[in-house]
Amino acid sequence: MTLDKLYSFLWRDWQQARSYRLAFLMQSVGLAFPLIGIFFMARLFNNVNVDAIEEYGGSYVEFLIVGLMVVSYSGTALRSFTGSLRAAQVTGSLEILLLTPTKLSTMLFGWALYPLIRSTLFLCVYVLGGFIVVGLSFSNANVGAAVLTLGLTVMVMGSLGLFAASFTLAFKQGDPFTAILVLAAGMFSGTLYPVNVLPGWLQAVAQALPQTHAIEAMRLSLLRGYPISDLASDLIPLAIYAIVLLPIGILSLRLAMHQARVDGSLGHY
Amino acid sequence: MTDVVVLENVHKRFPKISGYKDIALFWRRSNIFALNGVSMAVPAGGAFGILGPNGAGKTTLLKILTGLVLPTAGTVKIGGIDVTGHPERIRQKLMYVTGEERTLFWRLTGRQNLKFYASLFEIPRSQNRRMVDEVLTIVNLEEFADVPVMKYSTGMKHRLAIARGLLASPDILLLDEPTRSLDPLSARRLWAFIKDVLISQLGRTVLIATHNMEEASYLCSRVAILDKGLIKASDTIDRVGQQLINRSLYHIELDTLPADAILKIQRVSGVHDVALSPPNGRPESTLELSVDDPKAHIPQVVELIVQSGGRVTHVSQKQRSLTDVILAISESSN
Repeated sequence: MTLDKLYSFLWRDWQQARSYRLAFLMQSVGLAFPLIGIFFMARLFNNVNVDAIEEYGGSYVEFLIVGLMVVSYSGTALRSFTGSLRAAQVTGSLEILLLTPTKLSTMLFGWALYPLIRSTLFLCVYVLGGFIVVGLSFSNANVGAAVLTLGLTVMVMGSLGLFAASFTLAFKQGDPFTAILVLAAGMFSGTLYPVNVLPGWLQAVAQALPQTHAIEAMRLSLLRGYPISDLASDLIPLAIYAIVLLPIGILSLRLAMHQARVDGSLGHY
Repeated sequence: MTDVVVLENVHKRFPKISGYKDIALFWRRSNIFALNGVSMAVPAGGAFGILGPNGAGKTTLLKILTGLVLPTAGTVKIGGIDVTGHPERIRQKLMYVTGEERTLFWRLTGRQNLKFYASLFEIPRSQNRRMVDEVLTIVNLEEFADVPVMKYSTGMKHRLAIARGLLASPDILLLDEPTRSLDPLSARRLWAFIKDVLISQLGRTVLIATHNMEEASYLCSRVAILDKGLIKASDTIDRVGQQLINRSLYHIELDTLPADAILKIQRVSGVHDVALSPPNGRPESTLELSVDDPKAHIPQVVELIVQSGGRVTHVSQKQRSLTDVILAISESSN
């Protein structure tokens, strides 16, 4: 029954997305834009060997593609819960959805499915772009380690997403976590440049961000084929984040839901 | 007759939040008292109206029945089951239908909306299509099933919202201002549908929160009058009026009435709300008035009319309309 419900959320979001024909077309065309960016980056950097990224194979374009993939995916995992919850608040459908025999967790994952699948599609475009432009083939990749990294990343960012969603449920607008985390990830987690070029104190900040570990582990597993044991310094912090943040996220959402029922504010926005 | 909904001494207090200061200094914030000890019982079958002016607490009351809002104190039982203790069991018994159109997915068709909710209501996939077709037929929307909801009229959206509520096969339907924003013709069609189909054919118990007195008079066999979070009266429509307003309403039909007679009648102590229709005192006019003590005041008024040269053809006591009742409550509250 849960799978049926998850499919229904996915099907509903797909129907809604394609009903906005122009936006759907623009989004589809927009898939090509990363390819264009990667092409020009490749022209600029392909023959340049950057010492600072030697650890990842030395190719900046490959370094960049993996960084963008992880940031894009983790951003979606972080934002999709709170975005969908907010939309349901604004349209007033939240109360009706809560009257169906559907668990809140099923509802949240149902809301996240379509954006996650769309992000996976973007991810495929990045890989395809890398293959076409710089011959990125991930021939050395350790797929098992990469999948484990991706799974842990989605868990951690999803947990933070639950926390952000509980903030949205309690205070309606002004969830400060998502914006700060996305901005910090873009600047300090090593998406565009390696963390080791940052000043010492900013490197400490970067190490506190889960995205930093996710990007690092993903690069080393995909570009260098590192086994899971060699990625422990990044996978262990990610696992700790997941173990700590998931129950906090679930608990905060339950508390926010209870408080919204007490305040009678489920339908407010 | 079994009572399917029972409320005992239900209180609801909302925190007054107007900014971040109220959130941060939560121990200092004040409260809004939405319900102040509501007790009532709704019998199975038929329509029960919850009437009251805006802000009386009608929607809060309905949402407490669904579990969307938790009561501060008191007991709420649906079919003998406590709402706060067993919200998941309550969801199988009742469904809340709001007149708010945006709760539907406008970009999807009526059928797609219902198909989505049928899955959430755990209707097996093999029965999904049949159930959706069935409720579309009930609300008379089968012809527009594959049209996007954004192209529906307001009345059609309301009917689709009811269809969505029926998917859950609830025993009790809670309709929150079902004809809000409908034109009079569409409202009447929806009333007929509620009365003939939901109540008579399907045998559902329907609770209607409304401030539309015509709607309540047409649909409801019993009503509860809610004002400032208190049940002022709960009974049949006829008895509610008598309970709340001590004055009796009379119509005195006249052949003729001299102009000065009205002024004399208005001066009689215990006689209120004197109105002549038509107002210019033409033959065959009707004098409407309410009196504190009919046995004393009606003969006194008739005598005054006769003494002034008027002629009375008929005297009758009239039922108070629900509008009169609500107006009287509002006036006394203010």
